[in-house]
Amino acid sequence: MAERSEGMSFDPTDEQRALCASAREFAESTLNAGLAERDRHGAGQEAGWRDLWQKCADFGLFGLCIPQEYGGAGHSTLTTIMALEAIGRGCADNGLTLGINGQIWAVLKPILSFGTDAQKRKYVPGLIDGRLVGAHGLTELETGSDAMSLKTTAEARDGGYVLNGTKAYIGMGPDCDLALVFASTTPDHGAWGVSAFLVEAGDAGFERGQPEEKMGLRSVPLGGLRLTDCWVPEDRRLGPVGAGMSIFQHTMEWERSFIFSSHVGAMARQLDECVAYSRSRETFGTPIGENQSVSNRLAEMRLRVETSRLLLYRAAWLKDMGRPSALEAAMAKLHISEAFAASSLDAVRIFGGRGYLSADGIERNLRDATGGLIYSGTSDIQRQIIARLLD
Amino acid sequence: MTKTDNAQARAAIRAYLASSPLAGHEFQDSDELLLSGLLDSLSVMRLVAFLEMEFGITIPPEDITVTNLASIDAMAAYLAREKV
Repeated sequence: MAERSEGMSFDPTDEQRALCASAREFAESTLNAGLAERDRHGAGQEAGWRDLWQKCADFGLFGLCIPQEYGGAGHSTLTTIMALEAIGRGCADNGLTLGINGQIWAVLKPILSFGTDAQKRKYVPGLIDGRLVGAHGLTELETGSDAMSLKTTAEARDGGYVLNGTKAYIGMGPDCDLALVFASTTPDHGAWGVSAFLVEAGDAGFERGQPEEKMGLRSVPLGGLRLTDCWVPEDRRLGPVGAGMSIFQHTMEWERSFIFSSHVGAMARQLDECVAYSRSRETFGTPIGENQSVSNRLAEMRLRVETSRLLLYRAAWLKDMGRPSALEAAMAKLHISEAFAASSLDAVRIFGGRGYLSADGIERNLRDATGGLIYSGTSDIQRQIIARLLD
Repeated sequence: MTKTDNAQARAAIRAYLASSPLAGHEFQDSDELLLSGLLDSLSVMRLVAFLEMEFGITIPPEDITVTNLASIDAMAAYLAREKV
C-alpha cells in the first residue's frame, strides 16, 4: 500500500481511505450488537467480548502495523491509527476499542521492540490472529503514578526467575493468555533494578483475578494478577536485566500517543449524533441548535475532534520518521482524554434528559471517558511531563 | 575512542550535567547518578537525547540501563564500547 510518510501531510491516500471505509463498515456492522447488555452486566468471557475480539483479529486489526514477517500487514503508524480511528467511528463499544489498542501498543509493540526473534515468533502471530489476549502487568495497588516503585520481585533461580507479587488494575488481566509482567530483579536498584517477563496463563503460580466492577469501559475485563513462586525460564525475560525502566518508558510513549486512536473516532461519531439531534429536536418552536448555548457546545466539540486528531496524527508521523516523541505523546494523551470527557459531558447536556438515561448510550461515553483521565498516566502526570520536557 | 577523545567525552557530559539536571550540585565522574536519585527518569531521557546528539549515535532502548548510565565513568565506558 502506498503510504505517505516524508512530508507532514495528513490527507489520506486512496488506499488509506479505502482501509478506513472498510474498518468503519466492519465496526458498524459487527461490533455494536449486544453492547447495552455488555455494559450493564460487565465483562467476562460469557458476555461475548472474546467473540468480538476474534472478529477484530480476523479483520486484521491487531496486525495492522506489525511487520509482515510476523504475520502483520506492515502498515505505517499513521495508516494504523487512521484505521483504528475509523473503528472508533463505527464502534460504540469504547471498552472493546480500548482493549484492542492496549493489545497493539502495550503488548505487541514492546515484544517487537525488545523481544528476541524466538519470542516474536512464539507470541506475535497468536496475538494478532486472536488466539492470545495480552495484558500489560505493571501497576500495583500501592504504586499508582509512581509506577516503578513496584514490589513484585523476580529472583534468579534454576535457569530462570521466580516471580512473587500482585498486580492491580490490569486491563484484560482476568482473561489474559499472556502477561508482560514487570518485577524487580535487583530491589536495591529501585526503578533501575526492574526487568520485564512474559508470563503465560498456564504457568504454575500465576493466577488471574476476577473482573472488577467499574464505572465505565465495562465491556472488557480489568483486574489483578497474582504471582506466587511463579517460575519462568530465562528465555521469557524481555530485554536485558534491568531494562524494565526503559521498556516502560518506551512502551508508554507508544501507548500514550495512540491508545486513544479509536476514541478520536468516537468523538467524531458523538459530534455527528449531537449535530443531528440539535437540528431535529425543537423547543419553543425552533431547533435547539439555533440556541447559542447549544451551538457553542457543538463548536467546541468540533474543535476538540480536530485538535485531538492533529495531535494523534502528528505523534504517528513522528514515530514513522523515527523521531523522539515523548513530549508529543504526553500532549496527545492529556488532550484527547480531557477532550473526550468534556465532549461526553457536552453531549449529555445537549441531549438533556434523554442523554442522562442509559437507553441511547449517550451517558455511557461519559462513564467510559472518565477512565481515560487516569489510565496510562493521569492528566496531572502528563502535565508534569510536558512541563519538564519544555526547552 | 582514544584517551584524548575519552577525556573530551567526559568533559562534554560533565558540562551538560552541570548546565541542566545537576546545576548547583557538585559531582565526580565516579558518582552514582541514577541509583542516588540525582537523575530521575525524565532527566535520563533527556541525557540519552544529549548523548545521541553530541556523539552522533543511536542508543537503543535496551541499552538504557544502570550498567551503561550509572555515572560519567559508566557513560564513558559505554561510549568507548560503542567506539564513539
